Amino acid sequence: MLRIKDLNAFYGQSHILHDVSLHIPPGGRVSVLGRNGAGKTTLLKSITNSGPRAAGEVAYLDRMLGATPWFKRARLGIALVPEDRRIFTHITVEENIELAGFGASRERPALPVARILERFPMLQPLRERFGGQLSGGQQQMLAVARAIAARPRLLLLDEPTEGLAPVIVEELAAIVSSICAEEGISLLLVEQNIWFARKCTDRLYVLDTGRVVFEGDWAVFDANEDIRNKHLAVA
Amino acid sequence: MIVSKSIFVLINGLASGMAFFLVAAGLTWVFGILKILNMAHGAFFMIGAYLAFSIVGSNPESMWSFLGAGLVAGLVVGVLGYLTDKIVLTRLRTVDYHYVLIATFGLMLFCEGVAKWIWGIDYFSVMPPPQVDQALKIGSSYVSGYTLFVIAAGLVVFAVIDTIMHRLWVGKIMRAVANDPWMAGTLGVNVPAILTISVIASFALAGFAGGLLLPNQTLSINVGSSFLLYSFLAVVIGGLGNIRGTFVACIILGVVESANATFMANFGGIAVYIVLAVFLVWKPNGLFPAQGST
Repeated sequence: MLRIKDLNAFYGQSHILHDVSLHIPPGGRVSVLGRNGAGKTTLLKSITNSGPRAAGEVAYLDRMLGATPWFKRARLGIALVPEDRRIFTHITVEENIELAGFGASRERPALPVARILERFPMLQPLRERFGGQLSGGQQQMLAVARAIAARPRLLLLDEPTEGLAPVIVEELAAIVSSICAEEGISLLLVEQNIWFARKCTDRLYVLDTGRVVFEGDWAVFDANEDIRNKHLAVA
Repeated sequence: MIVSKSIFVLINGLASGMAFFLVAAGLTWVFGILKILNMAHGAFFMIGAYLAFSIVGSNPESMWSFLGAGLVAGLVVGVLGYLTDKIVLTRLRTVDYHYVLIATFGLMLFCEGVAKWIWGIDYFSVMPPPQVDQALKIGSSYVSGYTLFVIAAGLVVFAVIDTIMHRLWVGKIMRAVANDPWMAGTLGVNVPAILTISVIASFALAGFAGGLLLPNQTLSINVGSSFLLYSFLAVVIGGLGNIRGTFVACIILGVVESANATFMANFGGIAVYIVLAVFLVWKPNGLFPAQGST
């Protein structure tokens, strides 16, 4: 599905990612954990080509993405939910979801709004509201719903639990895992919330100052307590 | 007396306001989406006016030939907009706005040079089409039919743009690109294409306005300058890039200017600057500020 080899990413003069390699099999669900500033967001934006200058190989569905611009990558089925959600405030919840149709294609038609709202019951009563009238948690739900509506092949989630109430985090974990399983969506989740990452994914990478310092499944991660203590701030 | 004078002021003010709006619409559209101030906007208005004049001559035979000439001028200037975007503006997408001001100022000088080369430096005048050439009596004052035509044209152009921006999907997408181009692209919207379409639309509006406002003035290289200043003021008062705000600001400026000329003729032109100063203090981000501004 996605194979990254020796990816280096830069913002201006700053060298953010150093020789990062990562692999997601079709239908696979993978987390990237790391502290603030480890390069997690830069990794996602390098995959979508929407920010940093990146060098290295990014192969998606066995096709090298090269210089493909960011909006075309979206149309190839890569959906990114950014950390700051970026809901459009001038249109309604329903229209925000419909807008995702641009990321769909003939062989992957967009999911109808009604079906998305079934998946995200929290959004059902808000469908006529404008994006600017939603709370943080509602905006996060909408951001994920909007990404799913494009029927992506690969979903990139950037710290979706940040600032959310615990009960919403649980609801979001249940929704993300079930949708990815049922729609056959591969997931790359960037998180600091280990509980959420464990719920949603089966393999993980740990990133520290732009380098991959751990790769494996959750059992191996749990067996190596020093990884958590050394590279992740959270308990 | 005061009542009939007030009606006169109001109608003339509306006509001026709508003329300002016809010029300002394209200016604010491109500012809203590309965040650039096109200093050459007036030059393309001027080219539109000359093009329409070349088609229709000094005495338009009918309303249809007059409107047709305006539409053709709009189309041709729209094509010039496409070329300008490809040759000049796409190179300026990522640079500081100072460069854009200098580049579009240079473009303005270039256009004026080309226009002098093609049409010469003689002055021309154009009559309104016969259907709107008579004066109409409203109350005790007379208003030219062409004045009412300009008001109607401004209202129609506003209604069309407002419908596109607020009712149609293409407008919702344009506003999405205006608010957050990065996220729009992340959802798969072809952002570079939307920017190019906006430039074409803005230029086409300038050219069309040039054709429609031809009978209001002497046609020369400076034909746009009388409207352009007010249009810039309206774009600022309206909230940089907001069509509705610009429309309201144009009406305010037009009526204020007209009242100024009628009731305080000795202080001609001063009132719009007072209005501008008041708005800059009272609403520094404009009547309808763009989302994301503080």
